[in-house]
Amino acid sequence: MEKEIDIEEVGQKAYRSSEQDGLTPIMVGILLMGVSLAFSFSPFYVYLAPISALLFIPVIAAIRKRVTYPRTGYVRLRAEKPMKKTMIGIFLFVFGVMAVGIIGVIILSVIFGDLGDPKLWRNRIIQWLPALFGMMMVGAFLYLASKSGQARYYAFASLLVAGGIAFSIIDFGSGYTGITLFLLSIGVLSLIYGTIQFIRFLHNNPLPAAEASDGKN
Amino acid sequence: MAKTDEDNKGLQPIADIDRMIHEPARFMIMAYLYVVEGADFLFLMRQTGLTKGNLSSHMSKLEAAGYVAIRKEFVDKIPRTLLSLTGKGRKAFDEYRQNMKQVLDSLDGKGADRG
Repeated sequence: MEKEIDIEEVGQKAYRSSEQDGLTPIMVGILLMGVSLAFSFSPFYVYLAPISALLFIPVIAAIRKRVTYPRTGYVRLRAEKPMKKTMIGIFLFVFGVMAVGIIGVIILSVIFGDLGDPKLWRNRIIQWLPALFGMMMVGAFLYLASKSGQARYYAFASLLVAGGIAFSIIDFGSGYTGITLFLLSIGVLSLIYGTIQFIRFLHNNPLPAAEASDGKN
Repeated sequence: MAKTDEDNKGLQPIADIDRMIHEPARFMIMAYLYVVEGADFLFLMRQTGLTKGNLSSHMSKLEAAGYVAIRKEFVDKIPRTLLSLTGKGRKAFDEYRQNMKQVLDSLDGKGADRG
């Protein structure tokens, strides 16, 4: 027996098991594709994204009830605690990234000598939205890496930042094209990743025999 | 003789080890229930690798000890048995971990002294 019983690892295994069906990346992929579609019409519609995300939660719960739990069992993970600290952490992280982004835009404006032109400021912020979004997503991936113990999330975070910077540097001509294409790309990749996970999940976890699944009935 | 008593002091936590938890299968069950809010039988079977009968038997013992609560519920008319640690079970598991760590730490210390 190990000297210290690694409870964290047990928790990570339980988390991985609860997320192995790939439904979360599928939902995120569809959501990001929807947001990119919204951006292509008007940035105003982007505010609908959080509402759509809330609508996805019961859909995923219903699919899991029918597909996931009969195969791998039901687990209710422990709520984050303390929730208030987590929320403050998320807020500070997002605020920090935005602050870094604004400072970056100021530095660029000083370098290019257009500090006094608000229109150029606006364009520069829009141009660097992919990089900002990529950096914001780093927080989510670091959280997933610590919850699941899977190093692949560090690679995803790095790719997202690199991709965000690349999409910001490339000149797409018009305003929101960069962020639209960036969101579409990661949405499609997330959807493909989730779908592969889902197919593998169904393949590796056939439905058990039709007897009562809990052994206590 | 006095020195031997002194030596054994470090191993005193062994006497406090909870035998209900010390059994490997029950330890696994407790560890999984410790990190989650609750889980059903199928989940625990798959995670621990225990058979249905084996898991059921250990669960009954843990329930009798007051460490595990077994709650039956119906989801879309399908019965589901939700298992979770009780407050007593959580405390017992914390104490078990602490005792085991003390025992192993003291053994490490003795090994280092002799090495």
